[in-house]
Amino acid sequence: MFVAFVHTACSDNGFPDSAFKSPSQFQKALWWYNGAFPGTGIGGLAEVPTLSRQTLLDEGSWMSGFRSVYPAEDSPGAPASNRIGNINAPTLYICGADDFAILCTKEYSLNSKNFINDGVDYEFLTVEECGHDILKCKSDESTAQVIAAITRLLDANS
Amino acid sequence: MRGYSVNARPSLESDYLYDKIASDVTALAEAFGMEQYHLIGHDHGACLSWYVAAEDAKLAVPRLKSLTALSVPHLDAFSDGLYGPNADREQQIASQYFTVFNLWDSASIKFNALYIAMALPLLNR
Repeated sequence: MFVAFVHTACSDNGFPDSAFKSPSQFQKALWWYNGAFPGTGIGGLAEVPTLSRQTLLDEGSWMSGFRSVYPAEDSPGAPASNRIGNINAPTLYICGADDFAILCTKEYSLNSKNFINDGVDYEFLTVEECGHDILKCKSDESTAQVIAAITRLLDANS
Repeated sequence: MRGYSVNARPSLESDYLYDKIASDVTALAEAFGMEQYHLIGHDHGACLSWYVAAEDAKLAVPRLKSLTALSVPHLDAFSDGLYGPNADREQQIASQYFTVFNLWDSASIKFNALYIAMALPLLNR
């Protein structure tokens, strides 16, 4: 069985030699973002509207602090220029109920099922007591739930 | 994967277009002699994995045995959550960091703030 595991962001991948020893090295990983959006990349992901510090303050968001460091004016964003289309492989989508970066229990996220071809197996699993780093949940039981779901999918399709 | 592996960090922003990064996934499978494979991705790796899977679905002979996406929805669903009439305001707010991450010099602006906050702690472990 060959499993390709693409583990990114800045999570600890367990390979110290791959650490980024300078901002210019780290920039290469961040360019993954540029590669996704319209304008700088293939456009597979829409550009979120930019919200100014004042707008974020008006909405009572903690993100206003982020805008204090990285100021910007309101701007409209842009749609994806390249919708990626449907999936035809058996698919498992797992997320942590406490994830504050990707609000995966929202309706837009649940709509992922609409992009799986009819008749193709699809499972969505929300894991309690778990945030974004879903392989290191707050409880061992939750992490075990993630591993078990992945194992089931691999076994069922090998 | 390019950008992450220490000996696979090409120097141009254009080297990181999604179709090029995706080609690394299929090249890895081929390097191991695997005609079919399971794909698991987390965070931005999940974004890429959805893309790889969508491209795989267009092949006459698909190669993916399964897809596991950890922590990120299908990209078209995600796009609908970020922009347009059905966008989710809370997600738009939570994703404001995208507007900085995708600057060409995001790691070094503001006195290397992103590098210091995100990458340096791993280097010092």
